[in-house]
Amino acid sequence: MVLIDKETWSLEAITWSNFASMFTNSKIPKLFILANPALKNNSQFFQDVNLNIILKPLRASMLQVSLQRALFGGGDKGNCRNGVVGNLSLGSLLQGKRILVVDDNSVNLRVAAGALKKYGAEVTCADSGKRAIEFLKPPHSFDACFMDIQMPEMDGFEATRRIRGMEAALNDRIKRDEVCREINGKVIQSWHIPILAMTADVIQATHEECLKSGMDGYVSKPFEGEQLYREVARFFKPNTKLS
Amino acid sequence: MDYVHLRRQAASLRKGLFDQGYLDEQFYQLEDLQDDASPNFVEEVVTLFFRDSARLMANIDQALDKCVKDFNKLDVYMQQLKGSCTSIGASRMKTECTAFRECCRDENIEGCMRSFQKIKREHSVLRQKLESYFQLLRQAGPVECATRPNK
Repeated sequence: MVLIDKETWSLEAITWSNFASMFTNSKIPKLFILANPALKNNSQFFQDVNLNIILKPLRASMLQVSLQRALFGGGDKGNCRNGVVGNLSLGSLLQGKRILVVDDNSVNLRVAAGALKKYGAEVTCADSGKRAIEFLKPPHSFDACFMDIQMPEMDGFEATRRIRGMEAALNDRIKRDEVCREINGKVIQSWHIPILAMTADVIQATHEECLKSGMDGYVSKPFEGEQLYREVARFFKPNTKLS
Repeated sequence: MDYVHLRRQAASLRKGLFDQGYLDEQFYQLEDLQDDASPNFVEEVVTLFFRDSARLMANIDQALDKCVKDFNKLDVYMQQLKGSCTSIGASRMKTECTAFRECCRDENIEGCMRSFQKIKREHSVLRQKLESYFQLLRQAGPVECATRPNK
């Protein structure tokens, strides 16, 4: 592996693109370019598909994900871009998925929905725990839910507890064969929608409370590329039909 | 109309906002979300932000005016405001929101009031600069967007 800080090495004789292409034909070594996010103005550089770009500061989690993808592939040839981990990866996970986003803050809601839509998800917005419960009363056709935990009337924990309660009640009836298992052509043995908490302050207590109330995990808000990918990848398999 | 000049002005204004710390990396994320399907995403979110934050700040003003200092309530409002600031990358405002919340924790009402004056100033400056920026973009025409390299 070769990691080069873009700012410390100025290539004059050839362009970064041409330099990087020297690496793409051989399997090893893999070239990664560390770049300053302030230079995102230079969109040409950042959109070059030959370049594996990691934004500085270098974080262990990003390095792990980038290396994994570059060394073991993953089906798509998109460049590794911090915050996005290759548009194609999150796209292959989220394309066509129906996602409910719950946040009482309209700005946060708009930005979160925008981010998910960019990866091809069909996003529905809800501005309260109460609305979330209405949407997620089974049967429904949502694939996942992102839930803000700090909401005034009913917080995310309480909303999730109630949703799990509704699911448990229905699952009981399914077990006793009282209801049909088939919904929209899908056979559902047991209802459990993945619910991810969205939180501005990630602390240990929050994590424990998330799990206690029946949530499946959490992500920070605003979304952070590789964390979002990691969490979502736990529930959705990549759609390998997308190139 | 000199579109090149307008675009350069817009790019310069934008660069200044980052250089002077008014905006942070999150603003890039917003720009990334703008595309053919959502061609005015950034301006829409920013407009939403200023409307929402004005409302929250009016609430905070009222709460500070009352004789009974409800620090919990103030903190809740400020948490909301800080959240919005974080979502659009309003860096200076976000920093001041954090300072305000610390004053709430210390039950320091004078500190809260001073901090809030700063927040109002930052809000006003940011609003004015971003409004100018979007106006320039509109005048410069839809062809170029802000992330074009200024070579």
